[in-house]
Amino acid sequence: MARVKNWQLGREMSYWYPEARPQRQFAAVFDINKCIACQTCTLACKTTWTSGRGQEYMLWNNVESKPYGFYPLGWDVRLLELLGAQDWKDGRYEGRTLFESAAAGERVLGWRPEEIDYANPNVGEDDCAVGVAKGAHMTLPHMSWFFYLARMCNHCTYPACLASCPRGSIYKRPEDGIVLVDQGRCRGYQECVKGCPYKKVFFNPVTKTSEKCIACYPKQEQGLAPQCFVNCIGKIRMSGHLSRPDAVRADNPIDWLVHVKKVALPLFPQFGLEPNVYYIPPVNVPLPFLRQVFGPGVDAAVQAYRHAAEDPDLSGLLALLGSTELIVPRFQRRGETMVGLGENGLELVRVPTREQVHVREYANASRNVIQTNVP
Amino acid sequence: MNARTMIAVGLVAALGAGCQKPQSAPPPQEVRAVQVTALPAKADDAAWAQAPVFAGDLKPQDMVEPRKFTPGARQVQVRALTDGKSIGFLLEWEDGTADTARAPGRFGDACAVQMPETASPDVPAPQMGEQGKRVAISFWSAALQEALSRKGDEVDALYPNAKIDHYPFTAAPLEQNPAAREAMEVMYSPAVAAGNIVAAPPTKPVQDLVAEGPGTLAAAAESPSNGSGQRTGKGWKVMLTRPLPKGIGLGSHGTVAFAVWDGSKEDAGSRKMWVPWTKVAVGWSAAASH
Repeated sequence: MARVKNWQLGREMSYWYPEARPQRQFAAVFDINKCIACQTCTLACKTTWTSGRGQEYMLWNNVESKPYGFYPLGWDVRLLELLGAQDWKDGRYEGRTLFESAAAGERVLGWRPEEIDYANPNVGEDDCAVGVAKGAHMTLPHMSWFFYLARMCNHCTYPACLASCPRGSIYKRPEDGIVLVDQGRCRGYQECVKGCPYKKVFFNPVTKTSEKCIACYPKQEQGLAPQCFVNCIGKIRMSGHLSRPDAVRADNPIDWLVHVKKVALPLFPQFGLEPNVYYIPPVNVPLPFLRQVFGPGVDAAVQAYRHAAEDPDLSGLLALLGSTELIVPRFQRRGETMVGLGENGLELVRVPTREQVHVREYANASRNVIQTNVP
Repeated sequence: MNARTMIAVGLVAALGAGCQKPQSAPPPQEVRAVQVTALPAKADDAAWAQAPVFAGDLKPQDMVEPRKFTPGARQVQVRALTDGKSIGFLLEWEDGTADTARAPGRFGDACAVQMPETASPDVPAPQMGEQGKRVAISFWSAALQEALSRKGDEVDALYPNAKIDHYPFTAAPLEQNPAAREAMEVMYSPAVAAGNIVAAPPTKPVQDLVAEGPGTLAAAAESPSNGSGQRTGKGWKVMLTRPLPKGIGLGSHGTVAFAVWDGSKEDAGSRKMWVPWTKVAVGWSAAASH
């Protein structure tokens, strides 16, 4: 194994191949406080890419309720149990990654789902983490909680699927870091299915090859965001490219949210894959749970998000999420307007940093009726 | 040692030999391919009986990650026949479960015969050959054989209770245009579109493969191998035939290696039981073997 730098862990770690970062890395930010689990992203992906034979069960993108929702069943808790309790100390990961925990003769610590584990993709939907006692809904704060976790392939910097494949059938595109399965080379050993901790590689029983999210690279090559991004009803998603921490571009929306404001965090960074989908954590969820899922930066991220209204750059960028089908590589705030710019500086989109709200009086005096009081 | 001592030792040796009972010939330490006029077409053909059995000790593949940890069958029994141009192998090994489907988390039983592509005193590394020293592999798969014997859709066979709403390529406007329909179905089957032999509908249960080291397995340019398998009371009996390697003919020796995969143990790729290079005598006389 080689030694590579994983900035999410704050240290070097072992990986099957030497560090070879792409020219730029596809990355995304999901504000899951805004997700309503409508599954439009799921179906946008499904109808675009996985309508063929053998792909019936595949959801390259899915949304699950946490803590009791899984697709496939128990994908995260099973691995956490295998990995065992690990520690962070002062922002540095002191535990072992999946690569460092691999048994002799294995490349990655992993497990492989059975067919039945895919049978209930929306299991646990809206199940609360804490029981709702009689009258509990009348008190504040509510102790019951759940949140929606929208998931796709993380197009990791250190993909476990890629490391697991004994044939080298999985590769990262050097131009954008998108992780792909070479469909001409795969022989369907399912090592990648076992190795990917997020369980985002799927075996096709008809073609006998493994398949996965391709980040809609044909769209990205035209400067367009993937299908699951542009179809998002809640506008929770932004796609772009993430720089290394030592080469941050402060006018890059993804860089700013991840590296500067540190409000968007990786999913299970302790696994060691340096995943590139970053989540703005849900502010209604107990912090101990969030720390396990998103790492030690979650306390500060939740605080930053709670005070977003006082930070026009943050609120402006949050408003920019999902505002255009174009990939927005740069941004510039002009007063109370957030402007999305292309690499050439030309304006792509503009949004107000704060949405204008009009509150309608519930009592309509002119018509002498009480009306639904919606903004 | 003086002359008297030598005589005494010789007498003791002669007396000892005279006391032993006649013993049957020890099992061959090489594969002996008996010459026949035509290779059998089936695994249960009586012609296989004229070939002596080579008992290959199977061991878990533990040299290349990912390795095999749960041992499978311990021995593969091999018989071989040759017509001077091709060579046939009959492999028998124990496997309590017939794993004939490949699906998420499900793996198929299989076996393979490996020979150097070209005869050379300097044989390739036994683990899938090495760069510049290519090996040729005949790979039989129970899943391929099952797919051949089955009519109809793979999804229906694997999941009889599945209900499919709709495939884009089964849309009504395409019913009158089979070519357009087929082209569209390929679009939704990227491995087929990429020409991957594992995705193409099989025409036989055997694949011809080549390799120049671990992880380099690829489809061979031509596919002359054939084979078929059947269940025995204890496991599998599989016949594989392929052309003799370049430079190998009647009366000469070659090398061969074997591998078996047990689907119930999640074997695939390098997770296998195998027998390293073994000598194979091509054109062994049937009379000499008994």
